[in-house]
Amino acid sequence: MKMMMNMMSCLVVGLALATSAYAVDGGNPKKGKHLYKKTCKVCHSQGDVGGEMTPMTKTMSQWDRYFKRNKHKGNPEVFQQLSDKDKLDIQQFLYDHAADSDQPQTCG
Amino acid sequence: MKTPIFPLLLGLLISCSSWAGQDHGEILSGPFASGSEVTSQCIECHEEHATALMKSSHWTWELEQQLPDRTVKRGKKNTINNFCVAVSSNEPRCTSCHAGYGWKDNNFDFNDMTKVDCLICHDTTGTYVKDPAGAGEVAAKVNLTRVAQNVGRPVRDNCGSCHFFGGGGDGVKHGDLDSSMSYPDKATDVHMDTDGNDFQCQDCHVTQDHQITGNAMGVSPGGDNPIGCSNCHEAEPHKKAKLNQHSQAIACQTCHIPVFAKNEPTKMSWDWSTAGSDRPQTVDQYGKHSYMKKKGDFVWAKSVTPEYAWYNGKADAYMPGDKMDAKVTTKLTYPLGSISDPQAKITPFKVHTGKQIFDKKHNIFITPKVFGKGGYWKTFDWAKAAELGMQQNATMVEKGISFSGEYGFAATEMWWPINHMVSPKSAALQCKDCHSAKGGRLDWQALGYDGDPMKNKTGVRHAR
Repeated sequence: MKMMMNMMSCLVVGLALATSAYAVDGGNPKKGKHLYKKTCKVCHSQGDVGGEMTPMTKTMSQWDRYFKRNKHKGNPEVFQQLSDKDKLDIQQFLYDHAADSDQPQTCG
Repeated sequence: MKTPIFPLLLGLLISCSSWAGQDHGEILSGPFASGSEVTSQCIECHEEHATALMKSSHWTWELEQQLPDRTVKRGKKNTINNFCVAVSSNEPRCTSCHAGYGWKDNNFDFNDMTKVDCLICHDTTGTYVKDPAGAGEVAAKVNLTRVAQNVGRPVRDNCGSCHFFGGGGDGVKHGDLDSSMSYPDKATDVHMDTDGNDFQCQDCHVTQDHQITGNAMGVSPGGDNPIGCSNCHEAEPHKKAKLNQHSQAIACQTCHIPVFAKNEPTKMSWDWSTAGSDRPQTVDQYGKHSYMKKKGDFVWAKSVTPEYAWYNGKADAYMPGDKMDAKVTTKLTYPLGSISDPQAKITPFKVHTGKQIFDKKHNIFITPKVFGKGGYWKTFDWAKAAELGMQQNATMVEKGISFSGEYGFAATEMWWPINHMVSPKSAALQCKDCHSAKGGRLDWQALGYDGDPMKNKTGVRHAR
């Protein structure tokens, strides 16, 4: 049982480290909000084909994973058309206002 | 003599690349415990820039200026408005928009260069914020090292951090400046449209030596305003001669900014006289507070049609200590000009109305202490707030005015010229918007005409 607990706490610490290692930094969240409204909301507003997406749709680490791995794989062209800086700005905005952030936002 | 072109080009190259060329990340390693620590580093190389900034009204919050019958020193420092009334005695809250650190009372040292806040204008990370009630100090969550390492030329977000949020919230004061101007579309503003001209503030508010051109009527009614459409556009830009003729009596803004507060609502009225009641707090259709116990009743509006008045570029204002008459509406700031003034043009304005505290015996407007210890927002005691506010107001003390003990509430107006949110030409006003049998948006009688001058050919005309 004790070993189990130790393993569990290692896992938790490991996970926490892995998560913090992702934490996006260096983007401009204000620019990101603008870019998000302009490029993402076109297909991700309520009732749209892409389904509604707001910063609160995901947690901070989910957003980071999304930008690192998924990269809009359903329609990768969308991401390819954006510059790395623009993507970083959007990611920063989504991360800063994710469901588990200090300031969750639906994007006004 | 011809100018040698090579040094000129070299100079241009150096000046253009001065921001991009210098990697501040290599110089500023941090960590920084306060904004002042960053500034101390900035001035190692940029002392002359800080010196220049300290001469500007972004730092002094006052400007010597000419009102019609007197020369005054006026600015945010001593202006009485019909929002939170006055900075004095409410510093730590109001001075969160000062381009400096630590102005918490009358003892702030305006000669201390390390108190200049370089980052509020030069942050490019979009993460720099001041503590909203911290006398201009940086909010605790800001990563100062990252911000300092990424300084650059200001963008709309920098100016907007104060100018879009003055009065304590988005779009409260100006009507033509709010958060939607950070990244506006063409319908919002043809000049700042992010997909078009993408002008930054300083493209029109031309700046040299940290002296930014332009003055708001509220704080500097007597200030210069060398900014104008004709700095870029021809004086007679229309194809139709009739329209060019109109421009002799009508400001460009009148037709080209048909509405303001296009995206975000703006505050149109603030009635302090109803504050303090235990009525429930309410919100309006925009989700904005319409009644708060601390502040009274508010009226907000969106897509507002401006009011129109003759304006010759000069304005007048109520100064602290001026006598007022509670039976009439006092215009705290207002444009000058009339139909008989050749320099005046019909110009659009936001008129913010208010009801605010005055001294019944002295017949002057009171500057109450609303924020902080003993302030109205804590005590709901107007007499106490008036007494403390007047005691802590250096201008009132200098004039030997203190609170008499009797107060009432009187009506006020502030006139705000509308210059931003220029619409695409397809949305400009058409003939019928003013010259309509049903009555257009201009009140001809109030402007001094006998009636619509298009129909009444013999009546009073604008002096030219």
